[in-house]
Amino acid sequence: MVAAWKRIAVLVMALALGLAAAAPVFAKEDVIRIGAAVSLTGTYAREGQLTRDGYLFWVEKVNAAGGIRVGDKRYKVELIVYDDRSDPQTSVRLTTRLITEDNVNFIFGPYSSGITNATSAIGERYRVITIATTANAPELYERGYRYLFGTLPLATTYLYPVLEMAANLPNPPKKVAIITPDNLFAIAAAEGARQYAEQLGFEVVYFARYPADTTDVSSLLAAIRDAGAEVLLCTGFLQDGMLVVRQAKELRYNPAIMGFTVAASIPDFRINLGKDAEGIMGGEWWTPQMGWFDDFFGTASQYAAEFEARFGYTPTYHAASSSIGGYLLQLAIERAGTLDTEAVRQQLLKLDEVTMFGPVSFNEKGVNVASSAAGFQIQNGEIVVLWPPRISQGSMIYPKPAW
Amino acid sequence: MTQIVVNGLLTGGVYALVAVGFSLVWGVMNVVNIAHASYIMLGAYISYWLFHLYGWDPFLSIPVSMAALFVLGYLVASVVLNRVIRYGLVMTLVLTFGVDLILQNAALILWSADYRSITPSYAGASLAVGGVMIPYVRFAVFLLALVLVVLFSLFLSKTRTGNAIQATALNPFAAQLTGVRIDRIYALTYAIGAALAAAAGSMISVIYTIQPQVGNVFLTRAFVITVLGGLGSIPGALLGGVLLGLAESFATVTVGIGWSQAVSFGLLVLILVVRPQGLLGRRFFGGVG
Repeated sequence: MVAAWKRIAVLVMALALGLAAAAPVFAKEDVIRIGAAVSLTGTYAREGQLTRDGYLFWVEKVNAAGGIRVGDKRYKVELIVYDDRSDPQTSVRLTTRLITEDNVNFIFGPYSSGITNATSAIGERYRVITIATTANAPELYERGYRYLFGTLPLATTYLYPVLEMAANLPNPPKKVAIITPDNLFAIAAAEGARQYAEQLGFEVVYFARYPADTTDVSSLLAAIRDAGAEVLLCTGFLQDGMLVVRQAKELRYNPAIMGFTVAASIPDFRINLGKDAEGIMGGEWWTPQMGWFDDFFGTASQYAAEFEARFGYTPTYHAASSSIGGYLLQLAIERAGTLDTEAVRQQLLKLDEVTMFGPVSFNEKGVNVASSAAGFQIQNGEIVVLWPPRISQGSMIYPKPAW
Repeated sequence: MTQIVVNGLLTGGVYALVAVGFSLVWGVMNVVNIAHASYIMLGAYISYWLFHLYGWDPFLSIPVSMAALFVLGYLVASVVLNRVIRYGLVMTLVLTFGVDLILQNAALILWSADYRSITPSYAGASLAVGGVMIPYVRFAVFLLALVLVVLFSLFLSKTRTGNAIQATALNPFAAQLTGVRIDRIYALTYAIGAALAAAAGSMISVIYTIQPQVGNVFLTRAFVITVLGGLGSIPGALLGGVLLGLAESFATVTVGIGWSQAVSFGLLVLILVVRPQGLLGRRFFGGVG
């Protein structure tokens, strides 16, 4: 009698074990697992959360539509998110864990070129595709990596639209000054602007790299004024942008065009500087006002409205680029008809799409070469997109109003 | 050319004010006060919030931030710093580093890493004197820094308490024998140092963008200036600050802004080799030179 009970107990236990072992295998066949180690706390917490929400928005939308079609089957998407605490080492450890323990099929990149630089090496080693949505320092894509794709155009193109607008004026300015803080991303944008300016026929009369912790640029601006620069471009961050504007005003130096990268598109720039921000120009990867469109998300403004309804705030380019990263991966998987890394990679390389984020196509290095930043000007305290002409919302104020 | 000198002088004034409190604490107490960076930051935030919430002019909020940081400095010195001060430079360095970390991270949690700035209506306006631009705000900051430094050096030389501070700096043991309560003098000195940092912070909030790490940039400057001018020497801090401001300004237009820090640190090394006690320092001052 006792023996029989024992036998039944053993049987039940074996069954339970078998089921437990079988469960993950079963699940693996039905879902596509995507891992993302992004910064939810620390220095990059804000941008990291925007990136994460962008991923999440695509995941929820694609699952609501029934999932991704692979051959004849539909796969749901499961997103595994970890917090890398804005630390490259932590991000590397978490990415390794995503690949080796969570067995993800694909990786969505972290925020920032610096951290992506570290994590993409892990994806490369394990042959897992990384879709990097907020990392565009050119160095990242010059390492011969096969499994890294970046949705943002390169940082080098950031000020292209401002230069193009300047070159297309009836009476274009000639002398350009470019200044940049010592920072991977900012230097890339500045070097890109210098080359492009020369290509467009401008004379670069002043080019300077300043220490990232500089608190005073008055002498630098005095030197630039004396060099006769009519166009002043600065690739620094918010605090650099505000410092340059204030000290240029103090010196009463009035360039005809003042262009910034990240600084000018941040609302704080306009709020803090008030009317001193009038006429200042900048590059922007994406805003909801841009007239781009695709079949999945609809127009950029529809995307922004739906996103806001879900998360309670207006999406920035970080979020839009991250959502588009998911969509591009979806297209590549559907066209490949398999989850095989090599086949999906081939389809990513073949993509040639116009999306609500703008045109996308990847070159061999994984860089999105179809697009560049859009150009805008601050007019009456608002950002007005002016370039490229097909999404222009107004006309350029030139020269910039004097202080 | 004149513009370059003006720029250098104006920047130097801020540097001097940043360095005075730091130099004082180092000279009198032999403490390298890393937390100075946080006191600058807190001073800046006090001015920011008073401007932002109640519309106080940042120059009016200077006394408030000084008073608040005086109290905080006194507490830090009397509650923790005085207990470890006899264990020497390294222990106090670690301690002030810890205080700095706590304050900076508290600021990060409370106010986030967002960049903030004060933009009063007169920001960016300047006076033209024969083609040379003198920005009002920076000029006011420069004058105020001068006034504070002069007032403070009068306090040290003319008042009984000031003399007690100097006596403690020269020889704590002898000062104690003459009836000076050196633990109180230490707390007072440290509190004054924090208050001066707060004044500098309030002024920085008008001319620069602030965030919880804003003090760190100025701390490295304060370090250079203190060594340049001489430990604990008030005129030395002023001279060192102006010298550093001018050096950076000239380096920017001659060899390029990328070299400005190389020039200032080159200056530091040169002083250490040629005149290790600093330009206006005395050998016995601070008990370390």
